[in-house]
Amino acid sequence: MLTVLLMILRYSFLLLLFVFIFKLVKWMVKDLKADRLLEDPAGGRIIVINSSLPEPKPGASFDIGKEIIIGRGRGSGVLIRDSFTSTRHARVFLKGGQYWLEDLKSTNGTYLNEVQVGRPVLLTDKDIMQVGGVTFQFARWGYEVGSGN
Amino acid sequence: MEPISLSQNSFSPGGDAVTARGRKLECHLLLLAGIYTLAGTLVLYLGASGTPGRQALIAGIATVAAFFLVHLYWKAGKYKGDCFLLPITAVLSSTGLIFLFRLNPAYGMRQFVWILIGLGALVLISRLLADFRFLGDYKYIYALAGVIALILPIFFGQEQGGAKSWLDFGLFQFQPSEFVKLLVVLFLASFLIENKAALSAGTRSLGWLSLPSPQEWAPLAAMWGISMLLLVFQRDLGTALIYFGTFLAMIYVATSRVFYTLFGMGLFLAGATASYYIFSHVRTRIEIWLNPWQNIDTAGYQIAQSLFAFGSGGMLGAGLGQGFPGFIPAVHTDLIFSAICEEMGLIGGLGVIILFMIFVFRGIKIALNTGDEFAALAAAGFTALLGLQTFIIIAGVTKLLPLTGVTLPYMSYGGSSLVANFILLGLLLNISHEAGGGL
Repeated sequence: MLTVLLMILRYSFLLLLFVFIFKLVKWMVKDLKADRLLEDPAGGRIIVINSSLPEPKPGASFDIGKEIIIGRGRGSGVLIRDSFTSTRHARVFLKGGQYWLEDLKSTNGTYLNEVQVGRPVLLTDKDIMQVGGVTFQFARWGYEVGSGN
Repeated sequence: MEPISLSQNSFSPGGDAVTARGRKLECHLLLLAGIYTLAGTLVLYLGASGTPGRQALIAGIATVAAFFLVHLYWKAGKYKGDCFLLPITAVLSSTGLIFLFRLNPAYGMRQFVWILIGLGALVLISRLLADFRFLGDYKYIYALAGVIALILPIFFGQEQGGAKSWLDFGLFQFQPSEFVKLLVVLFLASFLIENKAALSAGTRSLGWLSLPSPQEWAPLAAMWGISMLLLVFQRDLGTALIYFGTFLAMIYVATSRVFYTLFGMGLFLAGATASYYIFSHVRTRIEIWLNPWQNIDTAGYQIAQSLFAFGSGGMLGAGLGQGFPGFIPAVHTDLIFSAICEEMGLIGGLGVIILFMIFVFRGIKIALNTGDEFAALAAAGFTALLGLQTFIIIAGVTKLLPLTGVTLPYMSYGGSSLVANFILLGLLLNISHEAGGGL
C-alpha cells in the first residue's frame, strides 16, 4: 500500500513541476499579448517649432516609433549639428503605451516645458522640449490620454 | 479580448490594477509551487521513517510559507516588482532543498536556514533599496571593496575542492567571490554608462578602427586584470569564467559593438591556452574533460560518476529517493544537477533548465522595459551573470564544457551563493518595480 502511494507521489512530484511550468508559460504568453495591446495603438511625433540652426527647419517632423535619439552623433534620429548638443543628447521612447523623455547625461541638459529633465519624464500632448538651440513640440495621436492636461 | 483601460494610469505606467493582477498571478503560482514542494517532501517523509523525514516535511512547508509571507508583504506594500520571478525561485530553491534533505538531512537543515536568511535579505533589499539609482554613484567604492574581498581569501582563506576562496568565521564559512559578482555588475553598469559614448563611438582612429582613448578603457582593463589575477591565484576558474562572460555581455549591451566581444573572446582564448600550459590544475581539468575514462579512479572519478547518474536516470528517473547519487563527489553543491537528473530523469532536468531559461527571459524583459540606462544595464548584467553561471555548471556536469566548480543558483548547498543570488533577485525586482511593470 505504502509503496503504491509512494510511487504515485513520486510521479506526481515530476508532474507537478510541469504543471507549474505550463501555468507559468501560459500566463507569461498572456502577459506578452497584453503588452502588445498596450503598445499597438500608440503613435507620436516631435515637430520642430523653433530652431537657431539651418537644420532642422521649423515645421520638420519626426516619427518616434519605439524610440528616437536626439543628438549630434550619426546614429541620431533627430540630428542637431550644434556645439551645445551632445553626441547622444536625449531620447524619446515608448513604454507601456506612453512616451517618455530621457536626458542621456548631456552636457547642457534637456528641457521639458522649460524645466530641466533629470529622470525620465512622461510626455503629454503639446509638451515643449528644448535641446540645444532647437525647440520641439510633442504630438500624440491614436487615442487621447489625459487630454486636457 | 478584454479591453484594457488606459485612462487610469496616465501618469504611472502600469497602474495599480495591473500590479494587483500581477500579485494575484504570483499567488496562484506560489500555490502550485507549494503543492509541488509538499509532494516532494511527502515522498521523503513516507520513504524514510524517523526524524529526517519529519524534518524535511516541516522545513518544506515552512519554506513555502516563508515565500508566501514575502508575497503577502509585497501585496500589502503595493510592490510592483515582476510577478514571475519569485515563484520560479520558490520552485528552484525548494527542489534544491528537497534533494539536499534526500542526500543528507544535516545539509538540508542548514540550507533551510539559509533560504530563510536569503528571503530576509530579499525583503530588506526590496524595502530599503527600492530606489536603487543611488547605487550608481559609488562605483569606485565597489571596485575597491571587490578587490579587498577577493584578496582576503588569498591570505586568510581556506582551500576547498582546489579553490582557495573561503573565509572561515568559525560558525560558518563565507565565500566573498559570490558577493563580489554583484559588485562587479554594479561597477560595470555605472562605469559603462558614464563612458558609453566614448566607448561606442571611439575618440581616436586606428586605420578602419576607431578606438576610445586610454582614460576610457584603462579602468576597465585594470579592473578586469585584477579580478582575473586574483581568481587565478585562488584557482577559482569557474568564477573567473563567469566574471569574464558577464563583462563581455555588458560591454556588448552598452556599446552594441561586436568588435569588443570578438576581441574579448580572442583574449579569452589566448588566456585559456596560456593557462593550459602554465597551470597544471587547468591542464588536468581539460584532460579529464576530453577523456574522463582514462583516470576514472582518480581525477576523472567525479565527472564519470556524474555521467553514470545521468545514464541510470534515463527518461523519467529512478524516482525521488530511489537512486544512488551518493557516489558523486560534491553532489550537494556543484553536482546537485546530476542528482536531480538521476532521480527525476531527463524530464526533470529539462524542467529545471526551462525554469532557468524563463528566469533569464524575464530578466532580459526587465532590462528592456526600464527607461533608465543604468538600471537597464544592471538588469542585463545580473541576468547574464545568473544565466552564465547556470550554463557553466550544467554544461560542466554534463561534460559539454570542462567541469569548473561553481554553484547552481538557488539549488546548490551553500549560504554565500544562496544569499548572494537572493540579493540579485531583489535588485532585479527593484528595477522592474521602478519601471512600474506589475506584470
